[in-house]
Amino acid sequence: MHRLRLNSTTRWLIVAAIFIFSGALGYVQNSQKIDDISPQTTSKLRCDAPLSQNRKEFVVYLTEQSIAEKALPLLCANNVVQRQFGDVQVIIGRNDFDTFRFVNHGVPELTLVKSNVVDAFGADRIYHYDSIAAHPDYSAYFIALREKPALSKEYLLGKRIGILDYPSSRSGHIVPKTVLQRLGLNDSNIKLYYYNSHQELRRALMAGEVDIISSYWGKADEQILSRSYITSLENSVPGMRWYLKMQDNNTDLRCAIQQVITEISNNHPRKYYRDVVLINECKSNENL
Amino acid sequence: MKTYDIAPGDWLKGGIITLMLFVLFQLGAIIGQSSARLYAEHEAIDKIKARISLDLQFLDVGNQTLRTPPNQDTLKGYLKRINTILSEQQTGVWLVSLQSVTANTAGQPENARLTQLILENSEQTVNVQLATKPLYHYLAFSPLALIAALLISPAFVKVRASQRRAVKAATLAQPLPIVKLTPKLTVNLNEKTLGNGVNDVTVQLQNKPLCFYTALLHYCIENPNSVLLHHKDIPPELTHLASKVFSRLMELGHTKRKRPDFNANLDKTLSEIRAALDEVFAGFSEEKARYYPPRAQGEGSRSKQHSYALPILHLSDIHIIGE
Repeated sequence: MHRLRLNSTTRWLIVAAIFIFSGALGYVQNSQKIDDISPQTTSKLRCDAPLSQNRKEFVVYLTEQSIAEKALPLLCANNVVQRQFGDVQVIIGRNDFDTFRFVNHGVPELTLVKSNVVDAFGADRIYHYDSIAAHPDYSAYFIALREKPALSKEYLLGKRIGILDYPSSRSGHIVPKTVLQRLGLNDSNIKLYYYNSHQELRRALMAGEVDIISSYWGKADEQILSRSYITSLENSVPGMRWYLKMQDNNTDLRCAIQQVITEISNNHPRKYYRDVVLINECKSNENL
Repeated sequence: MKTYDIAPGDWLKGGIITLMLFVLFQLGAIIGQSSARLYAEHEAIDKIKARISLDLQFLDVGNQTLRTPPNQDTLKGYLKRINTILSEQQTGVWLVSLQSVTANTAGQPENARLTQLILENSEQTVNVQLATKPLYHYLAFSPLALIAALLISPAFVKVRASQRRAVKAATLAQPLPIVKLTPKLTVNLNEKTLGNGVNDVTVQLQNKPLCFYTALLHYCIENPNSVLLHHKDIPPELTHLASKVFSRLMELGHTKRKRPDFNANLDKTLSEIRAALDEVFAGFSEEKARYYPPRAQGEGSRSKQHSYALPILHLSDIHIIGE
């Protein structure tokens, strides 16, 4: 070990240089490049690989993730779709706003939506959306936890009623509000509580946040609620419908899609979606 | 190989200096690490802010005017997706809530710093709460700081350096009294001076005492047991030697006069020699004795037995310049 013969200035310059270098090294150690975050609102699914060079895409608009996941592989593997389109794009909408925008701009070739959304803006007439399959109509009910709700102004006055916040919902929004309006009830004499989904409504009822909810009656409800404590508001609320854009008389595609819908329905875990009626069912399979 | 005598105190001082330097350099590293982290954090928050602002028009965050609540499921899913992306990038930033909807933040570190973002559009205000990992998670030990502190601390240990200088000086000083610091009579015929060969003290002598003394030195080296008595004439050999030195002085141009009588005023000659030696060997009395023609001692200094010869002298004891 030899003594470093350095004068004072040199020594302190070295110390300063090491100090700065340590700082720079520390900066490099911790510096991090943050990538941009891609859009996170609309989910889109595509086939693993493009079906052909055809630049036309078969766009499907759905609101249920479970149906989208089943539809995509069936559509990608379908001969007619492969023949006529270059790719399949399944858009999963997150809210009413998405549904309004996509359907009423005629974006999807195929969609599963409530008929009132299509009717509201005349999308069936503008884009020739043809109803090719329908899930069953259902009823809208007032559901309570401890007694059967009565449809009278006296009974409902002061009651806390849970409904859905999206205005396209028949059983959760349109029907109950219509009924209440008919009975002369409004925001000033009853308390309306808004929720985002039918599941949320059920949770709120069970938790005692509301006295009555407005919803459909499903098979699973029999496990948690009493059928005795429901009151029907409207018996035939139209069910979800499959619409295919039929601007051309593309019957091959219509038959192929009906077949795909049948397969999706057959394998769906929810009873409601397992029931499907094909409208003007295609009998001939010769072109498929 | 050099070895150093390092005292325990030096080790302590060295240790303290190393520690202080390490703390200083580590501080530098911490400043660097923190600034990089804060910059990355800032960038991440900016990206999140931009993303949420852009996504807001497609997000059901509720609306006060329409009296609709935020969509819990949608927003929880949205927060989860953003948080997954943020954690994949290891940003150390995550979303805690969007409006009234809280994300599942299980597994995130405690002591997180919360940041509130308020996004405003023409219809409503959207509150976003973010959390960032505490800064200390990103501060790390810097090996560079330690190595650098160890390497340059010797340059700061002054005591240790002087200690080493003292050791070095001591090793140099030891041989000096024997080899270099021993005075040796130097007779310079060119300058007609006597010197001690150690320092610059020289004394000039007259021609006669210089010649006589130079001759005496030679005579006594050649005849160590000779006895030179005051009351007798100096031996012819000595006279001959003195004459030879005088001739040499004439050659060197110091004199043109005839050769002096070396027997005349012998006592005075010896006194002049002694006075010169006293001056030249001031402080070296021990060494002086060798070159000093002995004085007559005690009573009867004109003792007939007294010899002014130099009994113990070797050729190596003297150095004559210009002979």
